[in-house]
Amino acid sequence: MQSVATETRTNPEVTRKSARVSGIDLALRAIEVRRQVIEFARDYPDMPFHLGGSLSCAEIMAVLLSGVMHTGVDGTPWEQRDRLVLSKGHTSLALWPALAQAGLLTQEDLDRGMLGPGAIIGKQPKRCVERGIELSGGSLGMGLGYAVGLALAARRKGLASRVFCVMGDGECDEGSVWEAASFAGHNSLGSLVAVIDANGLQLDGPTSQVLDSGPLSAKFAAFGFDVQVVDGHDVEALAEVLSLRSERPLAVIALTVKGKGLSCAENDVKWHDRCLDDDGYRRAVEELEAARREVLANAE
Amino acid sequence: MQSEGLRVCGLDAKVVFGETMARIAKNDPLLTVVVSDYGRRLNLDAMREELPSAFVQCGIAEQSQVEVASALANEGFHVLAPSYATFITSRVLDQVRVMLGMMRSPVILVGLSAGCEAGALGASHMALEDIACVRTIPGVTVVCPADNVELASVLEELASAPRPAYVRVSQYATDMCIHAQGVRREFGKAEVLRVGADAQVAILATGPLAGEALRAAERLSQEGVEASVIEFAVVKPLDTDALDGLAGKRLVVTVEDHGVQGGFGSAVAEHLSGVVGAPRVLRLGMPDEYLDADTPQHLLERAGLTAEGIAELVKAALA
Repeated sequence: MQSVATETRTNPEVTRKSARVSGIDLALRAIEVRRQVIEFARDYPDMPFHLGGSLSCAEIMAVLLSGVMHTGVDGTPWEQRDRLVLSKGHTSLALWPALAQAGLLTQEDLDRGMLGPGAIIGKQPKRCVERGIELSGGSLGMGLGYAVGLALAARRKGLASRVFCVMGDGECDEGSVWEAASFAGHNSLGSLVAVIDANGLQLDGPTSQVLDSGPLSAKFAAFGFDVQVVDGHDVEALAEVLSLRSERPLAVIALTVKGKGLSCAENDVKWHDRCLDDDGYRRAVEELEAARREVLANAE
Repeated sequence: MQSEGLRVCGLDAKVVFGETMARIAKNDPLLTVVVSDYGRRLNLDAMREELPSAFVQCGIAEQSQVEVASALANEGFHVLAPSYATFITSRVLDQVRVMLGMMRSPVILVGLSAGCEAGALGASHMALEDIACVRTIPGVTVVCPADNVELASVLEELASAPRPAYVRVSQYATDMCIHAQGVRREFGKAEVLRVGADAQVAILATGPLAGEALRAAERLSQEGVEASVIEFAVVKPLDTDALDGLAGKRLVVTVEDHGVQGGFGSAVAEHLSGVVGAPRVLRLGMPDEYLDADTPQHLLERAGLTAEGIAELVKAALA
């Protein structure tokens, strides 16, 4: 049923969306995601945003939404779109700009702010399927099970849709993650991709010290996944592995740096949910501008 | 009609669940039953033959069960998720909050062997807090059918118009087949089972103890105390019009095979607390403690939830 449905897409051999967005563009989009994360932090100085984890998954979000996924607003019929489940909803600051880059959120949506009844975006995602927000976030460990259900629904409907679930490595402490992983492996949900933003830190400290339960790659492999370990800040490498398909579910362990792009925050557990002051904001803007110039210089 | 109703009432409720699913599967290709290693007892072979893809097995993993069921429901399938009542409610309460509450996923949770039905297995398997847990979650419909005819009717109603819901199923040896002639009331409305002449007492019941409430009213009548009996299959949203009609009564009695804290009786008391001149409320249910393993009948007897026990407690309250 799956293979029949795949043919309904124009080019079933290429699961990567297209060559429209180049590696350079993806790298620039990731930097723009970081830039917007910093802007949110400045706009809401008292909000305990999860800046560290939002910055670590900037490439993942930009590559998924602009480089890999059929979003349903890119010519793919809406029902056949790929689904994105942000399981670690705490890092939604990176989701909003990436959704906007993909055309799923408008400037008006963003301008409605993050608080109150009129808000579309927020500290945690609130399900809004027409804007590509599949899951209400906040309670960790529920995304993979939900993504499994979406993948099962696609299989039953005969859709070629893929389902991407972005999780944190700390989040994998939750037992429900492994209930879902068992199901995915047992049922060979080849359309499912679990992307682990493995930044190595969680609220109480290094993930290896909080609850070191062995390498995630071996665990996902044991649960029946194909596993790819990749530099989570290398947009080309991410786009390549996220486009792989087989009969088995795929786990992409994206090795990342928490707080990436903001030198004072990198690999510092205090930046799990620290607020950004004026000085920090100014330095972040300068550093991200330098990173942008570097990408452009390397492109020439 | 009546003989079919009596046949259905005489079956195990789990068998009725399977019969009902098979019937729905004939006309509804979207039907889906997501189980957590509790499928074999649910008589689902006929449904699986009719619609193989309707059956989804999660293993002993109720968190995954609710998550998978919710995604399928939000993708348009008509999804039921049955398990032991306590495991499909309190064990997965955060999944129910997020998926059925916040996301309004139209999943029908089905809690089996609720109340004291699994009393022989001990406190871990009795579900005496499940109504309390689920009815605090905004937007989730809570239904406790009184017999198997009503169970089948409720499942068909919800599967045809899915919404976030919890159907609580319990069954005892002494149950009455109240709806042998079929269910005639509108979904969500309370049903008057007995009209007491100039009754000063109204006994309100949810679930299978509605039968004991009826027998209790007969006993009371023989002793000169007239009581009407009203069944509330739907605990949430509560039929408050029916409650408002009780304003002139001397005593309102609630009966349920659930803890006295937070269940149907609490819901009734919450509403009546805002009604000027409302009658006194006597809440009858299971004691606020974890009980040692015993037969359902012994557990219900000790809690005063037999016809005799209810009648005695009502007389004591009127004395």
